[in-house]
Amino acid sequence: MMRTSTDRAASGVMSTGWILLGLLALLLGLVVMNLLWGARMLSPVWLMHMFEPPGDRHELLVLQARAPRVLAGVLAGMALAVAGTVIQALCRNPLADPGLLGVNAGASASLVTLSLLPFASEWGVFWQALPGALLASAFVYALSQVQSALGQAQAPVRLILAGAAISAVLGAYVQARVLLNPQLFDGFRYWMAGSLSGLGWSEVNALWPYLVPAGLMLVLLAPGLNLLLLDRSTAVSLGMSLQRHTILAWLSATLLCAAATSVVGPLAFVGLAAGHLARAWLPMSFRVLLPGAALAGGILVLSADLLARVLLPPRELLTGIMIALLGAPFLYSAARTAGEYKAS
Amino acid sequence: MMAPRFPLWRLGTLTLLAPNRAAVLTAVLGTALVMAAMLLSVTLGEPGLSLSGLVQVLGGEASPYDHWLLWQSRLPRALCALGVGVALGVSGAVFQSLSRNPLGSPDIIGVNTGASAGTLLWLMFLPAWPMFWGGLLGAVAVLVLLLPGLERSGRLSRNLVLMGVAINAFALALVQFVLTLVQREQAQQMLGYLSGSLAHKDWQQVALIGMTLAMALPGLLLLSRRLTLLTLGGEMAQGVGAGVRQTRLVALLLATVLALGAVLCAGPVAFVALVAPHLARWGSHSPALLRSGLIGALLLLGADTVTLMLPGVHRLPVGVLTALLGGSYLAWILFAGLFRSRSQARAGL
Repeated sequence: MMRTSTDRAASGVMSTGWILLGLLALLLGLVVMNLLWGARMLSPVWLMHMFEPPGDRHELLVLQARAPRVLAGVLAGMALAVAGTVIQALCRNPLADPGLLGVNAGASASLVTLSLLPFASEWGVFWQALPGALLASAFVYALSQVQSALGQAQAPVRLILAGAAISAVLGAYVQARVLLNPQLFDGFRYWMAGSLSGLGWSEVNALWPYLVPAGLMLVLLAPGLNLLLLDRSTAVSLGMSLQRHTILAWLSATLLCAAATSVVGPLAFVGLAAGHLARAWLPMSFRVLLPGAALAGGILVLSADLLARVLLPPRELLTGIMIALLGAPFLYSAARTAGEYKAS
Repeated sequence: MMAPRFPLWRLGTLTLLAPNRAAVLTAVLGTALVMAAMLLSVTLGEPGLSLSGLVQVLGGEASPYDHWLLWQSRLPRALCALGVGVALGVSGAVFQSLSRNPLGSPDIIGVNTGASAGTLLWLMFLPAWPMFWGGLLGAVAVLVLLLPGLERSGRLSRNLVLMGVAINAFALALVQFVLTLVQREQAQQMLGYLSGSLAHKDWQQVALIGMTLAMALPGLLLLSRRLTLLTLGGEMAQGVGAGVRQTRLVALLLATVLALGAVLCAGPVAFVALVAPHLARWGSHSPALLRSGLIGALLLLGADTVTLMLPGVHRLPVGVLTALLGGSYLAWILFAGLFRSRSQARAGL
């Protein structure tokens, strides 16, 4: 690791910029591919007319129906990736991921509970998902704090297993609710697996008002998060209020997860993989890591969605399934070489 | 292990089957408890069969409906619960002692999910052939993927379980893939099966789980002393003279067969395989295969009886109940494990 970190220092700011630019270009390319490809392939010419009223040109209709889906996918992927990266740093755990830690399962559980209660059925999906996500993440946070207080920070696997336990319990609860209410089953069958299909502008509008403030908050917190990567006592002696930073960062990450989950369903692995890739490619500073991870998350979700739509036409696989099929082997190989969170 | 042995019972390897007073006591007590639980499971719940009704059926003077209810509905169901519980309990004990991790049970590391994914895919693409082969393929695939984790003696327990979590997620995605491709009614039926259900069992399924137990249980009981040695760690066990690799492989295979039989009979019933060995380990350190099996049977019979007694039109599959209970138990031991001393925590959870 020493070698790579000196390499990074030598190659300096330029290579970081190039990597971010490359990621951005890849993301934009995928956006275009997602707009044009699918059960019906469109010619790039139509992109020129993207913002015109469609009239009776059905190609334009298809294109304009795909646009919100792509946008929601990018936003959700970015949110989950940023949340994953932040949670990985806060837990000092390279394997942390909102999906694996049970935060997404908490959101699903409170969604299926509150959507059937009379007083809460009028709330938006986001507000129905938020309490569960907050509870689950508070639980995980408490667990990780106790863990580091007892000096077991070097056992990253235990936290993941605790998350697996939480996910399993909440998953069973969701399953029980869904099995007992056939009408609920109908609506949630696709949402439960994580799906981008059928997303429209209303979903995009439900997503960004929560993502933008939470993302901005994390950007503002980035210098503090950098200090958090150091030894705790060093961070305190450098004049940082540890508690406030940690809690604010954790809250923002949870908000990101809840918003993304309420719209696209519980997607696992995006945070894990994006955080991992960002740390492998970029210098260990959150001012660079967060945008890098966000781009990687958008790329992951869009490529999974693209695969899901073009693999078995005219059928469409669910994006969440595709992501799990791609992400699980990633966790498998990471597990074979599981190490500690590298803060250098 | 340390209790004085019955001299009469020391007949070569058979000592393992009835080694000491505690084991005899366990066997007698366990059989009595299981019989009582079976009786409760047959007589409680809706549609009911009262105790006097049961006596009447056994005396051959009951209505055809009561007769049908006992012999074709409740008894096969109770026997399935018994067999599946034993299979899951024993299989969980073997997996946990092999991975030296209390969390390394077949339902967490993906054996159950793999078997059900295999079954569903088989049903989708090759419906003409018996689905048994699909389950077998799925379980064996998971086993093959887990093997690299077993070979490394040093970091065995940690990574084996985590690799299992990844495999489990992959298999779960496959299951969901199948669920979204089929019609709504079929999907709901599959979801019922996938949460583990003991509804609509007949004698065919009883025969299936009985054959599974007959195939795998004797071998595992013969291996149980070696398995105890393996919990000491590979190097230690090798020093005492246990063939580490062969024992591990054979035990893994047999435990997988048990888990597979349970999945084929009742679907992936969650957490019984995780919790039963924990309860069986209470008060001793050995994996105690038979005790774990008995506790598994009691747990499943009890949970199934509770689901039969729950009100409501839509009956909850028993697996949902075991997942809720077992998952809470798991969360509790994880928290309790944190507060134990650090050395213990490193060795155990």
